[in-house]
Amino acid sequence: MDFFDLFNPLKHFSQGEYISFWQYLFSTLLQGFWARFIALLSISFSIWFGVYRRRFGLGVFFFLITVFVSYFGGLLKLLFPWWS
Amino acid sequence: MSEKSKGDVFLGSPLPAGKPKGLIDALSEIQQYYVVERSGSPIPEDFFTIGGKLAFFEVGFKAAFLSGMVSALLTPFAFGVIQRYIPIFGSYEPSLFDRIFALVLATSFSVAYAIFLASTGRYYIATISKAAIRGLLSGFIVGALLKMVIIFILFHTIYFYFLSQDFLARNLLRLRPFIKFVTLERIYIFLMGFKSVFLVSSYFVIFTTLLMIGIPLGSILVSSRKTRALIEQEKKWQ
Repeated sequence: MDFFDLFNPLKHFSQGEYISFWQYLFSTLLQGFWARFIALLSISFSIWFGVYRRRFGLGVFFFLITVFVSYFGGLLKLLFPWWS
Repeated sequence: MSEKSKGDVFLGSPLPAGKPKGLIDALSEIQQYYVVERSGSPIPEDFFTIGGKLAFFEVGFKAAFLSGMVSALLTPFAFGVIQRYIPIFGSYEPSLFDRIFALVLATSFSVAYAIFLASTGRYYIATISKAAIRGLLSGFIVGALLKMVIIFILFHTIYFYFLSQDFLARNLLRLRPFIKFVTLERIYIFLMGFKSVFLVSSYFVIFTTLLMIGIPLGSILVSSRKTRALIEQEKKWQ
């Protein structure tokens, strides 16, 4: 096996398995209970770090995670209608 | 330290006195002024130069303008979610939690900044700390109001000009060679429905701006009174 084949996921999984892995990951993280939970936790951390601990960098970081988790699922659905 | 210099108070700061570069610097400077002035050591009024005042104003202005812009740009998304044009958490059917969350997300950035600034309230006691807080706060108010005016005009321009039937149809048809007609039609219908979100958002931005200004103003008023009462009580005990 070529060295670079190590980095090719399709050498380790079938295309179907690979797609379903990402589908599962996104549908778990970007919609439903876990998305809401992660978003709520992130915005709480954002306010905690940004306002209370006065660490702006971490505050902004968690704010961006909240925006990502909230809206990226919808964007993915728009770009890839097969994703659900 | 020699006996002579025991009563002296030094303002230790890596920056030139009264010229903060960011919000954290500004708050640190104000804290230092507060500590010095509360201990009874007077700071001459000229210590706070015009450049220093401008620097505090600039920090407040930038903080309000940038945080306000982030919030204002997230507002159409929040109302898009509420009116079911934009999905949140991958769903076009937002629950009550989702709708509240979208609004909280849109307002949290500027409200957090306002709460952060409100923490200066307890330092609002003597000449220099008052002048510094006033500079910071006036910059914050001007920045917030300017952002409000820009966003209000921008959202109305989008509604009345960029999303008017003629303008939109004319410009979408220019994309006809690259995009299928059915897709263009879907984009047109979506934008025609979505455009009302910009009007609601522009008025909501006014509300959040007033909130953003009101939080530090109110807090400074309340906590400065508390600090003054505490100082007077301490004086009585002495």
